[in-house]
Amino acid sequence: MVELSVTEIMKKIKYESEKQKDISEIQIPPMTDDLFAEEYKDIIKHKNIIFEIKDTYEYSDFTKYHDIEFMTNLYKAILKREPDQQGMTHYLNLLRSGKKSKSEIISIVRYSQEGKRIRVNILGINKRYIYTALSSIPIFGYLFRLLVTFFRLPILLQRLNSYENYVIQESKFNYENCLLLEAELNLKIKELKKVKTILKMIKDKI
Amino acid sequence: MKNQTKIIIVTPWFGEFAGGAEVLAKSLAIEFNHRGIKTLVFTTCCKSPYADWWHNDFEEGEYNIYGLKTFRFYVNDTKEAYEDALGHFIHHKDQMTEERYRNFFVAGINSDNLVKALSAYIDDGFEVIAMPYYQGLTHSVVNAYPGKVSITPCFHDEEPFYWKPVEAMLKNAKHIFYNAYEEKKLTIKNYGHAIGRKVVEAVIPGVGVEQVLNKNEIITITDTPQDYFIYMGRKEEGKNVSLLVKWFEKYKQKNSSNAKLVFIGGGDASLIPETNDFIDFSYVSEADKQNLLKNAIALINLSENESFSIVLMESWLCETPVVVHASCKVTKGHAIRANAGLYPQDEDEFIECLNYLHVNKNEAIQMGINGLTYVKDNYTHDEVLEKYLTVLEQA
Repeated sequence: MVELSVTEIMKKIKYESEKQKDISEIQIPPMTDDLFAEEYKDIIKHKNIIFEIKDTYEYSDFTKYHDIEFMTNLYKAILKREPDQQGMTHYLNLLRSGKKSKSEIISIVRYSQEGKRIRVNILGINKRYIYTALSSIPIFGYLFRLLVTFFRLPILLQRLNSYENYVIQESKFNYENCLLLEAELNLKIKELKKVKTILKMIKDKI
Repeated sequence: MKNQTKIIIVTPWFGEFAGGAEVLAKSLAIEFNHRGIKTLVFTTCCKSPYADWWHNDFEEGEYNIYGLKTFRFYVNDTKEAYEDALGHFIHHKDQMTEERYRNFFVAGINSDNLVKALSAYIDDGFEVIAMPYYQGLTHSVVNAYPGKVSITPCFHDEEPFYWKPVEAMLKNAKHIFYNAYEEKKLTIKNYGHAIGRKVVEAVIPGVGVEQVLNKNEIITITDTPQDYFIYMGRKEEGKNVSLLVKWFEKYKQKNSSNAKLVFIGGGDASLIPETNDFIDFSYVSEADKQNLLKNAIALINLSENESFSIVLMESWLCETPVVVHASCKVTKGHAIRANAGLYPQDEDEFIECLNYLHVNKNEAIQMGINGLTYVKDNYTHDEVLEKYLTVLEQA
């Protein structure tokens, strides 16, 4: 009985068939310039929305971003600078623990001493600042938040639905990106393998 | 096997033609019947795919074909709609409409009489298996009785596979039976999301292939060359016969080999050059076929459009290795899983493959043995029918 593997035989055959060709006939496979091919760029693009610096903002200009991106934009727009490590950690902790909402953090940053000095115009900020201020009064603030939350339940539900869809869309987007990346990497590996084989052949011929 | 199962095989052509799906339909019907399972065949009055699909070559009624109760039904007169769809598919793809996609299938070979006649049999508890997906009859039968008709689609990676009517048919099918692992993978990739579990959990029975030889049959072809490769099947462009001829000519030019290329089977003989390197035996007896296969260095099949490839199995049953095209996922998959064949991607690799098999006799013999084991382990009639029946007998 002969031990054999047709896949191994085919590897040798592929190598031999390439070897038969003259060096001038050997075609170096075209290497793709970009990691992401043209058709994928549109999909990747929507991830990189550039935050616009302007004179007057709406709340949604900030709230459509999340986490670090949200805080960075807030600093750039309201305090006109890059966030410092301490401030960033503090606000991210508030955000991530759920102790403060994005709206409340916008108000806090806007009415901080630094924010007051720069005086960036945000539509509807006064109303939200009053809410934030009243909410922070002991006992009364708790009852006040409870009452406001009760009346805002339909809006909160709507946001919850919107967020759910956002999360689904993001996971889908990330999944697609992983697939694209995998495809691109496989392509690169194939190209490199071919180049490696060609180099080996050239070396053998020399 | 439970004998209360009753089966109807629906296929557009039966008895006069032996394409892949027809051979599968025939072998399923005969083998079910041999095992005591009541099996009927429903087909049309058109004799073969090479005849006029809208013309009746036979009278409607009951026939006995291969010992099977076979019912033939008149075909529909829908030639105009089909030719409109086909014309647009070939020449004006941008003008293909939903109606044309549909007509490409249902206005082809089809029979309303057959579809209507099935009703009483389905009510009577018959399990219906229709094949293949490419023909309108299968679509009509499956869609007329949603959830009651199973299909053996014989899918290929070709344009019509991706059209909407296929999705509708898959939705309405009761069970799906695949011929090959690659066919299942392709179907899951394209229809897994839309159809779900039915597509993903379907079994892959394949096609039963066994050697049948009448002991009294004698070998008549004795003037065979000493060294030869063999092609078995219809000689047609669709099977890449022209490419095979071209590559083999190059092989001969680059080598001092005395090997020849032998053809057996029908089709277009003009595709074969009239030189000493090619021999066309055309139709041969079963004894001659097996003898020619057994003594060949390898069977070559460069078709890129196979949903199973019975010829590969027949070659392996004769312990002869195979050479297939690397672009055909199904045949390449068989060659790798069986560890019994080579799969060149281009002319240079083809030449190297033929050289390898010609020179390395021991390896070629071992590949043949591996092939035989593969067929006996996976594609005996018992193996295949068991898979069908396990599914059909589910409550």
